[in-house]
Amino acid sequence: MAGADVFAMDPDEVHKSVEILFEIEAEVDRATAAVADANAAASGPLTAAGTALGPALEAAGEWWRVQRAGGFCGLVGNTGEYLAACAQEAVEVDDYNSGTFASLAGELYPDRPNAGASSRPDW
Amino acid sequence: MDIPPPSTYTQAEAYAPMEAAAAEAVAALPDFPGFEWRLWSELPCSHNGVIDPNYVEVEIEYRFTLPDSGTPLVRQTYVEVLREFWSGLGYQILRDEPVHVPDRLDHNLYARREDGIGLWYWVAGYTVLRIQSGAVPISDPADIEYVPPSGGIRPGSKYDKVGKYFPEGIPEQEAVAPFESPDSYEDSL
Amino acid sequence: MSEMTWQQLRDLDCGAVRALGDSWKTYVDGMLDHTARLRTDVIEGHLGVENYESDTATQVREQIGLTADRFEDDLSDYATTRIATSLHEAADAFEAEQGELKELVPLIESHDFDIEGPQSEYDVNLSGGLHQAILTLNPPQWLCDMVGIKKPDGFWDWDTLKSLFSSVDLYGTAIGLAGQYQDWLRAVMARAHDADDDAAAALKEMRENPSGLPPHLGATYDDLIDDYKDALSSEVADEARAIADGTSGMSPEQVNQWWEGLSDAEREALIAEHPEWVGPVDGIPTEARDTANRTLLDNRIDSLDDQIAAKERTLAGLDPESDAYERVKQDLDNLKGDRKDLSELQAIITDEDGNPAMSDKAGEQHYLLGFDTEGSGQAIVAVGNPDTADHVNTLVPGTTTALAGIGGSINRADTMSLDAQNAAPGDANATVMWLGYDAPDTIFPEAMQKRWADGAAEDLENFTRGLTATGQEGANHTLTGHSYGTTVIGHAATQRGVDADNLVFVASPGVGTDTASALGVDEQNVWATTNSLDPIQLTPEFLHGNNPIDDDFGGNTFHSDTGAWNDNNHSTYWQDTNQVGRDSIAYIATGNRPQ
Repeated sequence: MAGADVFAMDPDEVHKSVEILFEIEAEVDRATAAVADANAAASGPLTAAGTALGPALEAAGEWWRVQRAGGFCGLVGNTGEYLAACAQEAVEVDDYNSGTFASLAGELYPDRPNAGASSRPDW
Repeated sequence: MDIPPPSTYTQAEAYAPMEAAAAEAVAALPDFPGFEWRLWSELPCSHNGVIDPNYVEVEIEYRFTLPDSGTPLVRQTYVEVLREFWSGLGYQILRDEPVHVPDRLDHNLYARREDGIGLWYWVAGYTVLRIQSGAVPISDPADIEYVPPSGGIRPGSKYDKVGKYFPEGIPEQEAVAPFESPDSYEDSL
Repeated sequence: MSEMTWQQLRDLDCGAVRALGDSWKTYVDGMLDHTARLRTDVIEGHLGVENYESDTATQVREQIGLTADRFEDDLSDYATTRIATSLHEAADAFEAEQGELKELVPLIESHDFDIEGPQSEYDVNLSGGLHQAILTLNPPQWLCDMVGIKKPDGFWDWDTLKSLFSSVDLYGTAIGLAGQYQDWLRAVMARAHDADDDAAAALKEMRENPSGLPPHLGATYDDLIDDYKDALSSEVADEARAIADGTSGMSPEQVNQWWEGLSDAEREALIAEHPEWVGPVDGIPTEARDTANRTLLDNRIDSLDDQIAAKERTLAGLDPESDAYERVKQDLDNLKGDRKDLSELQAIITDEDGNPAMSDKAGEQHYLLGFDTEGSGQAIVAVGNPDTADHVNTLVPGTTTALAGIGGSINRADTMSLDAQNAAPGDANATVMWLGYDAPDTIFPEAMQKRWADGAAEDLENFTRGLTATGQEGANHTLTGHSYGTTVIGHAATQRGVDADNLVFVASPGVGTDTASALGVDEQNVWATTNSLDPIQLTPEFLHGNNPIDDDFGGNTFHSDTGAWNDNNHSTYWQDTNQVGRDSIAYIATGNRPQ
């Protein structure tokens, strides 16, 4: 395999890694959405009751969903996409962009649970 | 009043009569099993909420072992004996009352002598005999003399908790003991 | 800010709040399975060295590891410690105050009182109907019973006339009872609002100062990852600094969870390199605080020595007749005073070999939980380790207590520990001398003011919560106040809430409320004592409220004998003739409530 440094790589094993990364990405996304929804539902009555906790909780739940769990999902998905691209054509981490993966996505990972994730912008 | 009433003793003078009061009480107790330890300590004296560095309260505690603390002899008989004994000596009994606590009947017997020395027999989880000086003028530590313990405690042993007053070591003396005894009764009971 | 009304608090579904906290914890457990899978199935599995090897491969495995680490830290610090714990703490606090409301509101209603006013300053007033009943000489039965007259049942009969003559008493009694209920209600709402605001602050601070995330693989990754690793290396220090500064918004329980989540190496590094972020912090275990505070104490004494030497050099070069000389001399005297006070503290807690000293009486190790030379000085010293104790009794000393002469108060704590040992052999006990506040220097006017107690309330609240966080599950906690220390406890209990099973008020001038019910501790576990000659009991009620030894305060009283200094017995409770007070305190503090 050609590339910036010398690779010893079993592409099948790398693909299995990618599948696991995509599964985790999707599972975390799903479970986080569920807890965030429950959080939002519970914060409503607290807010209506005049608590300071209610609004703070709602904001915290959304922050967690988008920034922290969302950030994790983004990182896991991004790494999966990189590995998927890398398995096809060696690319250094600095040179990678999600467009490289996007051209492979439909072909290699048609069942990726987190559909559309590859369209996220480069970071 | 800005100073406490005159006391009969200074701190250094108080130990001997206090220990004599303890020995006197021990001598009156039948079938005496021995104490586990003796402890010399001090409490601060304060006036108008301010600790007065010129006065101190001396407290001497003699403690029975835990097994002995639970016997009817120590918990009941000794209360009766000391009540009679101290009353007979003309000491004023200021407190004589049982204390009901969960799973236990404790007792407080407190007497005071004319010279201000207090004697407190507290039957509790551990039963203790405490001798208290009242507020006395504080003494130079160098003026405090060793007084051997009562109740079978070996002078200078680890159960004779007076070491902080005698950093150079405790003078070699015989205990004022009712009988020859080991350092402690803890292991033989 | 919490704007919850008493009705909203009453109707709040605390079970739902707690269940949501549980949901977050369950969620965290599930998420940890995923990070574990990243390590086992990816880094050490399919993407292992045998399948994927190169510098880039190493970098990618490291990236996945960093991603998992970050998420695990987030799950611990944010989802668990901040969100789930805040929800659980809020649910517990709200539910406790709901319990108070369930008891209180029916009492208010059954006595025909009205609740009026805004959320935090509710008034409990006589209703129009009650006013009219009194004015028409038809007072309700409960009021007649309290005043001790027979309820009139005829027109202008003898009982009616007595009622007329007793109208002042009737009004006074009714207003007094309404005032007690008002204190109680205000305390309930103050604690509920405090818990609400604390929980909200913990969540808000979380969002405002988050840790960074690893960069994505892609352009400039190599540069960004170094920045990330740099930030990571200082992350624990940043968190510790924020906690010590009080800007983290974390409760002592949350601080404890954070501390327990650190590695041994991280904890040791913090204690060694930044003892100032460890020693004073409630929620960090006692052993760690003690080690850090001893270092701080050594450092402070060394620093004072340097400052004293510098001032002495300056002084030597000044004209003794000059103003500058006087100023420097004054500074020098202050420094020497601090040096002396801290040396005395050090001598108490340190043995001749430089190790932690055992106490003279109870034979328990001294632990230094805090000190300060500001104001009159502060010190928090435990006799025995509160983290391992079955019974923890915290003594809050009162007026004129200062760092200078702190040995007397530590001596009292040691005496209390010895008494507790005798009362409960076999149980581990610890007594903490908590001078964590600037105590009044004078009985008049300072001890007449409540500002010292108000200033101490939050610190005492946090200290008691810290003891709960670091202590044994189910340990018996007692707060014992002496003199103005009782006022401090009362203000903390009514304004913020304290974690205590028992409250003991010794020689109290008043605790800032008219009723034991307002203290947030089972009234049966509130105790007060003042010996009969102590002038403290003459403190007027308008200063610090009803005296806790008064019958209508509620709670219990126990007897303290008079002392030898019969003109003033205010501070003789630990002296010879006060053995009743001593053994009673020991029984209460060891859970052996006298019957």
